[in-house]
Amino acid sequence: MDPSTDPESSRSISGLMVVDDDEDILFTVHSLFRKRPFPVFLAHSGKECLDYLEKGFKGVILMDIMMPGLDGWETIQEIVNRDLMHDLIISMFTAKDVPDTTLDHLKEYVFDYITKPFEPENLIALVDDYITMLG
Amino acid sequence: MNILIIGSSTGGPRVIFDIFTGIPAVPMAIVIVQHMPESTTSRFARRLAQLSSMDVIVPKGGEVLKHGSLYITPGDNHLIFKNNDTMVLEKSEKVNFVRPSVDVTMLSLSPDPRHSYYGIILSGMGSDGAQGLSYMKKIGAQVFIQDPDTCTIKSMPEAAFRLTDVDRVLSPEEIHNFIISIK
Repeated sequence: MDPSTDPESSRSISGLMVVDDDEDILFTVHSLFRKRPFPVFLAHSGKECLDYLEKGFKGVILMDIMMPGLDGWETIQEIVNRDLMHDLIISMFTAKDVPDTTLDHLKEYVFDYITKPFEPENLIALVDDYITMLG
Repeated sequence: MNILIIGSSTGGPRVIFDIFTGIPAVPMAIVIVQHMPESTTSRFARRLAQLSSMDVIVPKGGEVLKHGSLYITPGDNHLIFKNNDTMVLEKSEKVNFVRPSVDVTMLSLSPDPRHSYYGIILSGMGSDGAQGLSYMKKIGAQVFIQDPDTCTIKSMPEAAFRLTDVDRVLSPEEIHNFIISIK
């Protein structure tokens, strides 16, 4: 499923959303999860992520930090400001292995922190766990 | 009563799932203070109920601690103890930028000959729990941190380590074994 071509398909659907401006990362993650029993949504920017959420997306979000426009932290702040933080598990998805401590005020909204490059098996296991948790 | 307080933030949930997988109903009351949004709490609790044999409870306030129970502090609430065994929820100001705060829960305990206290700080950003763990040590608790080398984010256990002469530094597997060793 490539919902990026059909945003309306995201209405009230639980699944996985990858937010990253790197097309290669989106392609790789989509390939890893395409056979899982849940939809995978690809957002190329923080704004696109917010659009999916406004349309009812619930589920697990893998959020890149460094993106043009809204970065990952600003996107999470906007999710909180718009009261969209319901039935979501957000994990940062980043090449930075040490988080910026000035962003302490957003830590309660970040369940996990996955660094790139990642081990595919580990990423699948983790996302499966969180999807199971959201039920 | 044996009372264990576990403080956890970013990267902690996956460790908590590992720790509690296969945990029987141990003679200990365990309180988890996980930084998370309120809407996630019930799902987090349900997953832990699937993984362990403990009685998993999201307190509403007023509950008295019982052995064999695992209490999940609800998001957007501080959990404080009254008389060291009754849980009270508060929506007072955030502490260390968070609600629930690990420090708030740990600092609400007082020395009590009826109880053996234990405290653990797991993976997370910032320093929440450092003061609380130091205080718990001062009132006679055994205190531990997750081995920073096994943490997704090290800053919370490292902050606690800087402030406190911890009893042991434990891997998730060792924390699991510690919990099931309680008799």
